[in-house]
Amino acid sequence: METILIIGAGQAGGRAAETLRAQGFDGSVVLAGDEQHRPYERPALSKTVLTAADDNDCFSAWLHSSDFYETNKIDWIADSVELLDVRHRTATLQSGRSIGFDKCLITTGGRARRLPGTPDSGHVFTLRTLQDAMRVRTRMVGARSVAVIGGGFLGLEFAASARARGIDVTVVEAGEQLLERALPREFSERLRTKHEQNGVRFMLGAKLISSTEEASGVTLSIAPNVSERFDFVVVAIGQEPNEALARASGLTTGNGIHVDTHCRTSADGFYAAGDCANFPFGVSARRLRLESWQNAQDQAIVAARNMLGESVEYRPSPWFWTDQYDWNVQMLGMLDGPVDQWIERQTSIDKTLLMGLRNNAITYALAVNNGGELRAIRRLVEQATQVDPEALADPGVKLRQLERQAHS
Amino acid sequence: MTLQFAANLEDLNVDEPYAATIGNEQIALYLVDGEVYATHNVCTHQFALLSDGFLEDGCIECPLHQGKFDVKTGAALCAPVTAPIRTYKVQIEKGAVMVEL
Repeated sequence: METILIIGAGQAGGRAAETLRAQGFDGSVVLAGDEQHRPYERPALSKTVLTAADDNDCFSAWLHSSDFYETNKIDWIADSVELLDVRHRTATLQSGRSIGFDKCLITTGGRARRLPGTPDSGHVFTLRTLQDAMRVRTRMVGARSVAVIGGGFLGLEFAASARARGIDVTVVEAGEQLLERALPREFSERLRTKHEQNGVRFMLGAKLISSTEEASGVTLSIAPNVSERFDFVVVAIGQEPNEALARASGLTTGNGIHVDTHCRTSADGFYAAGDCANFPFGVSARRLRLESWQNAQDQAIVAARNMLGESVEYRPSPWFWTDQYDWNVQMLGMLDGPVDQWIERQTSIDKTLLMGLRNNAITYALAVNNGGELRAIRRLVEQATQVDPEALADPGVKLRQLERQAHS
Repeated sequence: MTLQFAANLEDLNVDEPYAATIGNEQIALYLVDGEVYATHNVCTHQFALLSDGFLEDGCIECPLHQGKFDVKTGAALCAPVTAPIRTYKVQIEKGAVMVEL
């Protein structure tokens, strides 16, 4: 009987296992991950896990019901793979157990980047796993102040959650504006204002020089001239791909595990997907990793189908979202090229659609509480369709109509 | 099971899901190929109103995570949704959309 081993039991690993069964694979499926929990979605970790009133009811974002793995004969093992022998196709778990397999999917994800010289401690936290989130949740009880190092999506989501619990929040960000590469400047400022209205203090262009842990908190020294004590600190300065196992077993790596558009690594029969996978993107085929919920799900599904003999290419339209206060912000496309015109369809400050055009095609769009409208223009973005900017700017013109006309 | 008023038929537009509240029940109505269909309005994955979503080819796509349901059967069509959405029987009476609750 054929065995497929999936290394990493996060969202990508879980979706891949599900897909193998949904596609009719009747061999053995082994899903091994180093967390003590069955696969779950991480977005809730910076939000409801931290804000829910009840400890016993603060997490529900499991990928599947608890009986799913048994019902579908998926051998989920809460153990990490320590050795991967590519030639003999065997994996050795920390427990010593050895697993032989025919094909392997690596979905080891990423880990929180840490500040040099600032390890996790009783008052310093990173936020990546459910266990991390539960530790932060516990520390928030009775805390009055927190410093967030890093004003990216995770840091800002955490800031909103901490404000919801009445904690004073200071965000320390090295850049001069928030999310400089991910958001148009205009919206970046709106987002900062939203946080300031909710009581968040920002230190922009600020660099952490040192942190000193004390019994009841941490004193941060921040350039140019701030020294301040906080009850605790959350470090949210990005993630690093978990590629060490793949690299040690001889697969090609470098900012993640290198795969082609079919999710195949450099070794026959070995695939990778999700946060840890570095793939050729777009017409230019430039290599990148996408750290997103969408990528973890969709790339894993493509990988699983290809492992069963299909030939599906992974060509995503990058789509991200973040929830902060009462805003659900969604972004389509990447803000990685020049935009020569911005068009906004704004219903209110809390509901809008902002589109960036290049040569009369929408290359990037951002929606606040307006996911349905963002979805309506997805094909226009994906196919770089020529649009009439005047019609796009006219609130009397429905986006669906525009989309239909463009494709009729 | 009783038929209850949900909306005036003339208020429904093609391509545009319609939110109706009947008592405590949140319902989404859809006009597809001249027929009206009704589902529960809250996605089975996480809290989001399907009436804010994207309707195409008889499928409603959730505005939060793009999970998809068949509005006729309630079937969950793609990740991340796995549980079907509840559907309701609909009758049109004198221009009124009536939903069986």
